Amino acid sequence: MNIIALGPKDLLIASGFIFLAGGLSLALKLGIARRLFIAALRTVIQLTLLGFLLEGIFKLDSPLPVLLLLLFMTLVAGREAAARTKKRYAYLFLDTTLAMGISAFFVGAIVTQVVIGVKPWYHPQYVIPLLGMILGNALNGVSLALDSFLEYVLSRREEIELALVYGAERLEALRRPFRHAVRRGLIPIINAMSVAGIVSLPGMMTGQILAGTPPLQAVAYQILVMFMLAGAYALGAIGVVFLAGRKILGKELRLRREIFS
Amino acid sequence: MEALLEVGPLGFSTAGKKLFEGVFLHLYPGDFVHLKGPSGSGKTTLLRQVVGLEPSGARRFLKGKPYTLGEMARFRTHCLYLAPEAPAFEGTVEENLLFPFRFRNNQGKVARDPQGLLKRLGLKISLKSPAVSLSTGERQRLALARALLFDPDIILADEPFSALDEENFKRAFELLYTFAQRAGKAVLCVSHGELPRRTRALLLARGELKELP
Repeated sequence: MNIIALGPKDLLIASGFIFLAGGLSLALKLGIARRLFIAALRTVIQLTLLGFLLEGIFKLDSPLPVLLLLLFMTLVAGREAAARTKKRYAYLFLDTTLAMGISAFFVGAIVTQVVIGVKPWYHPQYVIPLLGMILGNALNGVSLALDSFLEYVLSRREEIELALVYGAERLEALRRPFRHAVRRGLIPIINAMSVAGIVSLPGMMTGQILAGTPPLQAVAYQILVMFMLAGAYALGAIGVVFLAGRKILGKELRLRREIFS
Repeated sequence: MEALLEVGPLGFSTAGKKLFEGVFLHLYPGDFVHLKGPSGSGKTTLLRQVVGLEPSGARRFLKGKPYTLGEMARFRTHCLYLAPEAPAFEGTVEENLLFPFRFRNNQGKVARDPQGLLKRLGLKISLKSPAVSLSTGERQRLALARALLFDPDIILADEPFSALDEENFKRAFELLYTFAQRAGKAVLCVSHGELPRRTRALLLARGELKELP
């Protein structure tokens, strides 16, 4: 494989794009320069830290640090999904984290252990990036589905209560918002799969090709990744609305508006 | 006579102010109770608490049988709350009338002659027409038709006639009153206006529920 290594000098030149964009923003008084610089700085710091962390974990070659990192990633993703919804209820992040964890664990286990069959089972070079991709996408599915679910339930209270007063159990009363929310949550991955390779060259595949992988092998991995992400989206979206539904209706099956802040 | 429905104690306070407290509601077979009370006295909240849409520490009995919080869905199939908003969801009139029969708790229940019931309520609409295009008065009669078709033991009707003209009010009232006279049935009806007939009247005012002469 002929990888052209990148050094600090190359990245310094690349940072010129940020200065260009920032300069344009200042010249045109767009007021976005500050946020752009902070975001760029965060990218550099976060990714550098991650780089050192990954180098360290790769060297350690032991399951415990891998599992700890995965746990940390799940918690951060759960918190982020909870922060993205417009309407919130108490302990929302428990539900988002759990949905994310279930989705990532299930899809991740099948992909790494059955499909790819990595040896040893915790092989950090495979497990960490794959789980990272799964979590990042499940995060999208979870937050989109949850957001439209809460919006639906709170704006159409009468419709939900109409089902409840006629003796609906939880899933019967929430059938419409569930459908609505899961559909909404799956739109991005369906769109991504529809245009993959035509409108967009998927990021992971591009990265693999740049790093010297033969195109067909990169394509095989990309297909695997797409399917895996579809699974993560679906499990995350379904999981989170299910958990949210339990919280919102409670044991006595009423719309518990008081838990919303 | 054994009470059909016993619920209590019901109490509700909002913004530190007590709306009502220690209220018990009893309904007996054959009752057609007119529940009166000034605006804001908590009539709607009281009925919503009875069916568990609002929290309360109340205990509930139907014909002496207790129902726990985990059994609210089954309780509601016997004791139906008819909301004042008369909600309808997107779909046909037929779907809006018949959806309760699909619920697991209502298996074995049969809807008898929905078209005929609509006609007796003065609703000249097709079962296949979309429910969202109905006027407020039509939606109110659709909601009443749904309740009567569902045939529970008790109907708690919250302002079920507010948007009806004189003629349609008479029709709707007679159907609801006839329902209450059938064996083992009871109706409690919230209404600002006077009702042509009733067996009892209750007044919710100043935090108490009182029997009126």
